[in-house]
Amino acid sequence: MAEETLLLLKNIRTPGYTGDLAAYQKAGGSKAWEKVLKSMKPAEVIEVLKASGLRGRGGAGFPCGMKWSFMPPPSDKPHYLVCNADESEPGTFKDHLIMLNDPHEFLEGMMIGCYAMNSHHGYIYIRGESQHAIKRVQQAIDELYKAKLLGKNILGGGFDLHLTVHPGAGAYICGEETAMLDSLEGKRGQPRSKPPFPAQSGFDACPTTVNNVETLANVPFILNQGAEAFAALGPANNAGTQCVSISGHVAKPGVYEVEMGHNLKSLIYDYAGGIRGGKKLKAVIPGGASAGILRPDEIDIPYDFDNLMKAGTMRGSGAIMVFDEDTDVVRLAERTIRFFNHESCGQCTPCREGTFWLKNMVRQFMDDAGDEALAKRMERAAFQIGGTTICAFGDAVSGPMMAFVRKFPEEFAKHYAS
Amino acid sequence: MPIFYLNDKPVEFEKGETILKAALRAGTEIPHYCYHPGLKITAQCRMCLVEITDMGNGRGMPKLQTSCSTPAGENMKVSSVSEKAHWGQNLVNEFLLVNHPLDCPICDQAGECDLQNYAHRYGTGHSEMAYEKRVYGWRNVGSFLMLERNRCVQCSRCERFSRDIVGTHDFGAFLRTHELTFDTWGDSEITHKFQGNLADICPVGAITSRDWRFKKRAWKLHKTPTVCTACSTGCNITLEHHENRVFRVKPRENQAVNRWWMCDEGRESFPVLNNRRERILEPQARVKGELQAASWDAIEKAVAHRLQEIGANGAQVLGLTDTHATNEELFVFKQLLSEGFGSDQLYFPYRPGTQQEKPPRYLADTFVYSLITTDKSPNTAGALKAGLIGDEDDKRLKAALKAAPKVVFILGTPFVNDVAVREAVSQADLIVAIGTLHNPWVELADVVLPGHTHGEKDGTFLNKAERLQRIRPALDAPEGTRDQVGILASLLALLGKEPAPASAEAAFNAMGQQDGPFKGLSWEAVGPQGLPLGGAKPAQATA
Amino acid sequence: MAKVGFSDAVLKEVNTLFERYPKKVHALLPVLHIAQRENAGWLPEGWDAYVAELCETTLNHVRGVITFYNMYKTTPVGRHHIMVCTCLPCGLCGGTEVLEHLEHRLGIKSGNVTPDGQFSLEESQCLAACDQAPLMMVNEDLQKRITLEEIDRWIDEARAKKA
Repeated sequence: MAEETLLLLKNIRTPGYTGDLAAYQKAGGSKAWEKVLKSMKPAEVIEVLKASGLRGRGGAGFPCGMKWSFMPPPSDKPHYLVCNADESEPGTFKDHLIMLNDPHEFLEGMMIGCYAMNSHHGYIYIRGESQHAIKRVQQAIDELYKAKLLGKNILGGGFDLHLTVHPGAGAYICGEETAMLDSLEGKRGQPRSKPPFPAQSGFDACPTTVNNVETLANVPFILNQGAEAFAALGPANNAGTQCVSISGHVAKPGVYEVEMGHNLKSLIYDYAGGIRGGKKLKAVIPGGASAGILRPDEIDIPYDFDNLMKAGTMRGSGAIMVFDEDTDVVRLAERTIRFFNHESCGQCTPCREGTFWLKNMVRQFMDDAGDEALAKRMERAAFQIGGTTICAFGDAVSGPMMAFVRKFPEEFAKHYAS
Repeated sequence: MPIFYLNDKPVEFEKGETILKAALRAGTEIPHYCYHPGLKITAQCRMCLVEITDMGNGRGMPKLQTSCSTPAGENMKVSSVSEKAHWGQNLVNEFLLVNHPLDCPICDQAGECDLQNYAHRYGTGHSEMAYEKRVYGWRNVGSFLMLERNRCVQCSRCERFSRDIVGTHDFGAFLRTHELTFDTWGDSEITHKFQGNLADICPVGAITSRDWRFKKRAWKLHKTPTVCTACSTGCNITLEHHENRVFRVKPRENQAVNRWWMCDEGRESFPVLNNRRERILEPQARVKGELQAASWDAIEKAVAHRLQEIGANGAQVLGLTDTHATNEELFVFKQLLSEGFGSDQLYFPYRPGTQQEKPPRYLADTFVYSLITTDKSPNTAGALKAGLIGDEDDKRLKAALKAAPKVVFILGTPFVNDVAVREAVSQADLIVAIGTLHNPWVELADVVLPGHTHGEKDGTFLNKAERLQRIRPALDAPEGTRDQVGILASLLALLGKEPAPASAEAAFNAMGQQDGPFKGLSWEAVGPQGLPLGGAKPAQATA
Repeated sequence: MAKVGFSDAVLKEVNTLFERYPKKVHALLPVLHIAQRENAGWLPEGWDAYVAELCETTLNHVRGVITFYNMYKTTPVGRHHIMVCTCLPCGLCGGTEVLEHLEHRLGIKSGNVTPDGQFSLEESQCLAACDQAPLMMVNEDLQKRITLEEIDRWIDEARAKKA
């Protein structure tokens, strides 16, 4: 197997690493937190983050430092940092790897983020199904309180900070940041219409920033090693390493940490061991269920935000799903739309009705009762959901569903009525 | 005010105002379902998508934006008619028809249904969805309402109204995806007194009012803007009628009075306007103990004769009125007593109102609960301002009745349930009752003069907040009846006095020229939004 | 109907939870989880109203939340609540076969409980361990790369334990 570029997973890849606070600190952990508390102003932290070029790893790839800088100056309203640990994008499991095996890394990043944004309370939103992750992260937080790295007047620096784990209850849409905030407020997880953006009015109508687990896990490295060291990794505008979740019909599915911009084909063949059983590759979904499918001849590209966008799909949450020659792409489409129809919150018309209609159309293909007109209609309905809804869920349905029809017409033709 | 451009036309907007609000105020329709000016903005139906070609800084927005949630900006260029905007409007409507039953022919909302109208204006009016639709049964969800969820467009107005305006949250949002449904839980029914508003705000035929079911097609109705008389709040309403029958009452927006809402008591108060069975249709006089119909001419002559015979004056002549009488009627009534008989004995039942309903917990804005008062008449404040005599226990009236008045004029049904008052009044030599429906005073009266209902007459009321508001005639009054101002004026004329103003307008203008609460006001000044006493400007309507 | 309401010890736990949020209603999701934990994995009648009262919100707010999220159940679940991911990629790596096998072995369709109340089955969406497909989650335990033979063995063991 090709070597990983270990930045985030360094501890995890160390044999015998337990992930508790003592082990974390022995491996050099908590230093960034102490450094920030003792010697940096919040604005300075944000400048370092901006200089690092770190982009959000949750899906949209928004520059992290810029996001933090959107938070207003301190006022009588509390500020909040919410860590998006929902990890519900199908094909994604890298945040769970971090949370279960090295929780202190992202927690330290989160604490630094709270300091930078004058937040005295942070919430970690973990999907309710992942009881193990909830318990593991809670355990880590308890350790931090005990070590007085959390709580009141931390390390005598006068900064108070609390972290709370908030369990979700089974809803993909709660991975969308404003839906997550509603869910955190005890509501149905329905995305909010923006403006106002969370930085103005987020959790409890107070300034709030939402960051993904992996994004925050990068923060200690950036503060310890400097923005330049981080920016030096990966191509321009796509700095750092990335934890890529590879699943499906590969020999060695799992999480691999590579530099941003690493070749997609190499990830599949050099890291994940190629297609299992010596079969041929049929298709790759490169960024979670929300990303458009690629044909085998389209995967020889650098794997990062900008290059995947250029290829008409997206990096998303870094989830690569690989499918071999025996895969029926229509069935893939069926699984995909079944998922989106199940998980649509239902508030926007195009998404609510469109996913229902698309599901029915794909099922008609599954019943071998399709035709060319139906494929066209499917493509049109999918196109109509894109960009017409409150949140990006509409695009997440639209992109992949159109891609299935456009990239694999011959697969749909196999399901035409005879 | 700053401006932005909507479909190339400049539109003024207030800072922070959304594109949709400014557009509606300027009279440009942008189709929408979930937006309602009285409810929180959710931007979920997506019908109001517009194309923003320039945010005011030379750059456009790549995606269509919902005009209900996007603030207008200086020099912004917005189109609701561009090809792209039409694409958005059409697709939303197409998706809405995916699961809609298209049962317009049997839907009460037809003719005033946003889905139907927009499908014609902005859509193809059909859906290519060829699969089994989502199907629910219909049922009653309250004494006032019927729910037909197949027609629902999931705009969530009903939930937002229930949660944020009434606070009962009886309409909730349940489930998600295409199963998302707005409903009461299980079979539970709504019991609050603001149900009718749910039928109003539902943009389609999902929530309709039960008493309106299959009664009339909406497009046949004539609409008369007027004021509710069911309590002292005076909600602004529209009487909706056809062929001289009222079919329903709808609230009319007035930010200073009822905003967009009204209560069900008010809504259910209209049947009285259609009541012909108990209506007094002709003037009558008692002959040998029996009331007999006669012409107005004959009756008036007889009354004049009787009054001369009795020769009563001063405190021997008493007037009783209820507070359903308009300011103009009270004015002429007072004039009749003072100029005709030198009497100042005009009594009314003074029943100050208090808020009737208690708002539930967790409701932030309890405004709607202030709408229903315990004073079930529209003009108590007017009677007070007119200087009529009244107290909560009717003590002063009872004292006056001890002096055995000889002539009693009764307008409406004041004190009608008080046996002692009826007994004392019955001793008078002449009782003249002016009214619209049969009532105990008619049983006692020597002369009965048929007046007009508040659906037939013109006039003003002063609501509990001393806002002067005008009612307008919606229906033709039955032949043989006369409006009360005219009746009272002609009674004064019988006595050979200076003629009193014989119309509401003339009476009001006369009041405007005298010292008193309405000094300086003219009939025209009382606009459709009313006029607060004290000279504040009438409230502006919002979009 | 069984008594609705938390014990003093659980109430204490809930009150500690409330302290972590600006408003009580914010803790609605975790409080509902606790209510399910105290009621064998589901929310019997009356608990929605009880939790609404506790979290200072309206009843239909709570019902709206319960019906929105997958994890809240208003009907009983089995002692072993089984979730099988059939999403992509699990669905294409044996997940659907696992589900079909379980339906066959347990004699119930997804969404149901066996008559003896031992097992309930639910077809679920992504469980965030796609590299270990197919996945089966039993109560809180995620069983990875599960084979049909392992499932048979597990069912037999679970049944034997009960007997």
